[in-house]
Amino acid sequence: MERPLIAGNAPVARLAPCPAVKETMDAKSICRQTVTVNLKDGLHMVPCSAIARTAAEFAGEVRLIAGAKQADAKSVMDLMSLGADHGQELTVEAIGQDAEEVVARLVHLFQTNFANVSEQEARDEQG
Amino acid sequence: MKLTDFVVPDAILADLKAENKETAIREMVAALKRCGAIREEDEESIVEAIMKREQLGSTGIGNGVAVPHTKHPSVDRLVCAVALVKDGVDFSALDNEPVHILFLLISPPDRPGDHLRGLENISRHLKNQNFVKFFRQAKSKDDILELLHEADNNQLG
Repeated sequence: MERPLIAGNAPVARLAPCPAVKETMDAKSICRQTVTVNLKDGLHMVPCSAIARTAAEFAGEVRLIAGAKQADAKSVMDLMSLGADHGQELTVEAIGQDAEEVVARLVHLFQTNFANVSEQEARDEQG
Repeated sequence: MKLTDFVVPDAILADLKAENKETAIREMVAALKRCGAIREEDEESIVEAIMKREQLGSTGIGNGVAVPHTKHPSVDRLVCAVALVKDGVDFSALDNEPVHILFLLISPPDRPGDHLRGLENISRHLKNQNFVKFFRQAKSKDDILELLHEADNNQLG
């Protein structure tokens, strides 16, 4: 299934088909998908900010879950408190209208290893 | 890792007066220099690296908190200065609110795990409203140091 272009995400021509788990409960759409942190320095402030910016465009709830810990994906502070290392598996979960779209966009960030963010970071070695 | 493992006690500024972001960062780096946590010859380079990182996006992460940071080869372990700015300082924070609490981190480039653990630790405590409230009420370096110890020992509820 081809997915439509998503406004405001110009470098992403098409998102890959989303194999996310979808549920519908009480007219609320729930979508979740597992991702792996491939950033060598783990999920530090720059990628956390990118996640929060993307999640903030979504009206519903968005969470990242790491084992027993979970974070509001709209909060940089919450995301950093996960302390997610390189190689760690996380679950991206969204609840509400357009849940599938926000999960797909967040998964894309992980799958491209936060490409646009990381290029500048790699040059600057700032973290 | 605990807060008191990497916060340098003599680089705690309980009443920092700062007109802007750069002034705040310069004062905190200078505090680390004064107590020997960084070398004098590295001070300017560290300030520049932190300011360059701020250009990527403000480290003012909301709730009156900022965590300016950089990796820098001049340090061989994670070091941190802490400051309370009672009047607040504009940090172009995500929520556009002034910043009152600052944790400034400098980490060795070859120890990304320590940097991540430091950020995790600071963030976890700053989510605790009691920690933030007591921090804002601190009147001295000793008050803040005691609070950091209490946070490390999970005594803040």
